[in-house]
Amino acid sequence: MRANSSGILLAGDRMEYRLGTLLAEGGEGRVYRLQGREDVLAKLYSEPGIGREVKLEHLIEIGNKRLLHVAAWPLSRLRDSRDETVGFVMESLEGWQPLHASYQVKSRLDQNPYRTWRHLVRIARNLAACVHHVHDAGLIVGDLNESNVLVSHESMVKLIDVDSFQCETADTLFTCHVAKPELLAPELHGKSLEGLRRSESHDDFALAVLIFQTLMFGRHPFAGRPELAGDISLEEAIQKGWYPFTERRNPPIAPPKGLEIDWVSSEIRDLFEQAFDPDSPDRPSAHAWFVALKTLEASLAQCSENQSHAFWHGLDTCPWCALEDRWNLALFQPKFGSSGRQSIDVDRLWARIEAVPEPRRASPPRGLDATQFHPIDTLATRTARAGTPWIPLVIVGAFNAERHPELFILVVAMVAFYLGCLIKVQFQHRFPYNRAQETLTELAHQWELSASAGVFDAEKEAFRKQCDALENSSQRLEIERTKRLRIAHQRELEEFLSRYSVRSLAGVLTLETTSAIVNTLGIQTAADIHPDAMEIGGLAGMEGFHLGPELTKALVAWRTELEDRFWSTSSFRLDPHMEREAQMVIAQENAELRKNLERAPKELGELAEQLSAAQIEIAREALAPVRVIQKHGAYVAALTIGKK
Amino acid sequence: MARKDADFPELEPLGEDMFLNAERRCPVVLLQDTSGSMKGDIARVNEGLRLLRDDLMSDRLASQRVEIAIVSFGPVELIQDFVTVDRWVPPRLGADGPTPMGEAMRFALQQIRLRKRAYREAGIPYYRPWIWLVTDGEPTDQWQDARNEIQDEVKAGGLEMFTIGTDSANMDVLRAISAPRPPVMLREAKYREMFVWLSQSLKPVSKAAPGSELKLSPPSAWGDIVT
Repeated sequence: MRANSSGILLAGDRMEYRLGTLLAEGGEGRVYRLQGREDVLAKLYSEPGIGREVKLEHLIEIGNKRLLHVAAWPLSRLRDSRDETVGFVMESLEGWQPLHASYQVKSRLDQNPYRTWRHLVRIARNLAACVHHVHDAGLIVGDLNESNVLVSHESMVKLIDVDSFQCETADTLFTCHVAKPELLAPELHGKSLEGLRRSESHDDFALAVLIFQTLMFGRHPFAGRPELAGDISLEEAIQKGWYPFTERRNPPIAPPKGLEIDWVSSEIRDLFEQAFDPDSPDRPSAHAWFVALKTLEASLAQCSENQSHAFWHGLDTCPWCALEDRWNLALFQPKFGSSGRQSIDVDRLWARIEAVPEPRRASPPRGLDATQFHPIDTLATRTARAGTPWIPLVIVGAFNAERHPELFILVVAMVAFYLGCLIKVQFQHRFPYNRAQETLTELAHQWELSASAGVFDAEKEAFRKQCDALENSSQRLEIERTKRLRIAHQRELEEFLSRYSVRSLAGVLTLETTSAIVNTLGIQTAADIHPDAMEIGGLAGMEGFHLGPELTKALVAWRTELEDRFWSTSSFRLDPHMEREAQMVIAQENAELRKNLERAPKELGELAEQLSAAQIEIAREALAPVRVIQKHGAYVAALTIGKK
Repeated sequence: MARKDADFPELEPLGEDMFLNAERRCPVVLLQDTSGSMKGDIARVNEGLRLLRDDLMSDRLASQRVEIAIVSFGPVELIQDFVTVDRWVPPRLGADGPTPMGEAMRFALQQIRLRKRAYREAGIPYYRPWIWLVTDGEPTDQWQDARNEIQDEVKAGGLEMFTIGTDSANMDVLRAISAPRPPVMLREAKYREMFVWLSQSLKPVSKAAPGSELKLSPPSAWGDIVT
């Protein structure tokens, strides 16, 4: 097969298909989309195998409704231009996830955060049903593993890689020659799978392992804490029947900490015992698993503390609460009230605020500019205006007073006349005019503070922000959660940061600098960098070493990068107590906001009325000073003639 | 970073990462020569490490199974302790100093022992650990004891040892260390290609048949097997 066959045309049994984009690549072949088809995919073999065509034809032939329901069954062969069978068409299961993504806590919380243990039981049960129907049709899965079992968002399960199933025509046995050792029945370990006839019981072993992993948070049933020196591989444990939870034997492996087999019903426990006992001739069949899991599903209790906790009702207390407490993490994510209703509510609140009648929007009183008056120039204003040219005359008169007393008297008289005019103009016109202007300025200021429509606008804007806050309460809750989460998991963060030596920055900071940072500042790992304590100007160490602002910034940036990596790959969830706390904070804030917003229309209405009234009042108060200004403005204007 | 002794009864927390992610682990120690003579190539090594991360990230199961630790030698330092690939921020290594390969190998073995103990403590299964040693020179310290330790582990089936040398490396030393696997001579500082190959080789390992013979493609894009 060519490296990439996108675009080529292949013949199916009833119609032609054109290959689309490459979806996945595995050891056995490649999976392509088909152009113009959403419902089916093409699987193309990497290399043509002898007898493959016959096997494929047989599989297609026996395909029935039930098999199509439990597996991505081959629907049609695909032949190339030389009429050679190169692959087949099968149902598209895009969006389905491999089983391991369902049973690993981290992936489950990422992808299906609201899955409870009830869903996990259902997935296990559906898997048992799938295997049962395959067996019922006389087939063996062979390579049953966590990657070729797919799970939908609704916990439906389907098997893929049907072309590797073991099947038999009238004269040929097509065996499955692959397996993962972790899922291989002990009696097959060390044997060549080539040409080996496999039995339902072999599948049943793999099924039991996968069911265990699904119910027990991804733990392999044979993984435990070895009590012997030296390594015990999973394979060895399987071969020797060292199932750590067994009550029948005494294996040198202890169960992993925190994992209790009592979480499952005694019926399920017995099935595990039976399935993992190397001396037991009969492993529980897929059907037996189906029945037991269905019973387990019907006997689940709901935790009173946490609605995301479903557990086997044979237990006195919720095991998940205890487990979450012990690990300081959440295994299941509770569902919280949606924000849908809230936004409708906010719309209603805002509409009521919008409906409040606005206050008057009159112009504030303003000072009047003297230059706008037509000057009335009187003898007094003219004299007062002409003030300064008189000064030399007065000086001359004063110096010559002895020789020409009459001149001096004239000068004195003129000065007296001038001063008289000046005082008259000032007292009669300028002072009242100025006082009136000041009064107007004061009134304008008062207007801004307590009469302007702007006061109303600002208040309304504040309410709009409160509406926004109420509408975005889910974001605010997320911020509250993050805040608590980061406090709760500070220890894990520190542990992660301490894995990174400062010397991993040697390529950026130079070796000398990193050594100096370690030796004189005592900063060994990213955990020792404390952004809050880092001074902007750099850090001074012993022996005169000084870490400049640039390097300090680089260190802080590095820590931040690591922190981001940590949080973005962590699936921490708040424990129910802290979650409640966060929700309480937001609920209280929301109640406060809602109270304010409920009151807002009344408050705004009253404010609008107050403002309108104040506008009228201030405008009225402004009348008198305006009259004063108008009366004296013309004279004041006369004083400034020629001074412009 | 404080040196840890595998046998010292230190209290260690059971990491949350082991509970949230119970996948079988494949620990890999990158034992990177950072002696002065590597100065010209260290930027390429750093770039290669980034590629290694990006390529492994494209495989979800591998990114949760492969755990990388980096030990540099010249001097011997635990640059970064084991983290799964999805949490790995590749370092930016510098180059300076001698080539204490012997000490580095012993140190790497110790890190692996410690990590294995953590796995065992948590009940997490693991694949055979890898040590990936890259050097451009020859040991400046006593290395034969460490070689023996490595060889014992390899013979007991407890380690996959890889050695990669540039044309200035002492291939006889590398051959003795990684036997029976022959060392690979790196061509023209093709560190990028080398790390991509490492990633491609780790992906299937992190998914299948432990204990079985590693099926690796020939490193023809970046090196020559030295026989």
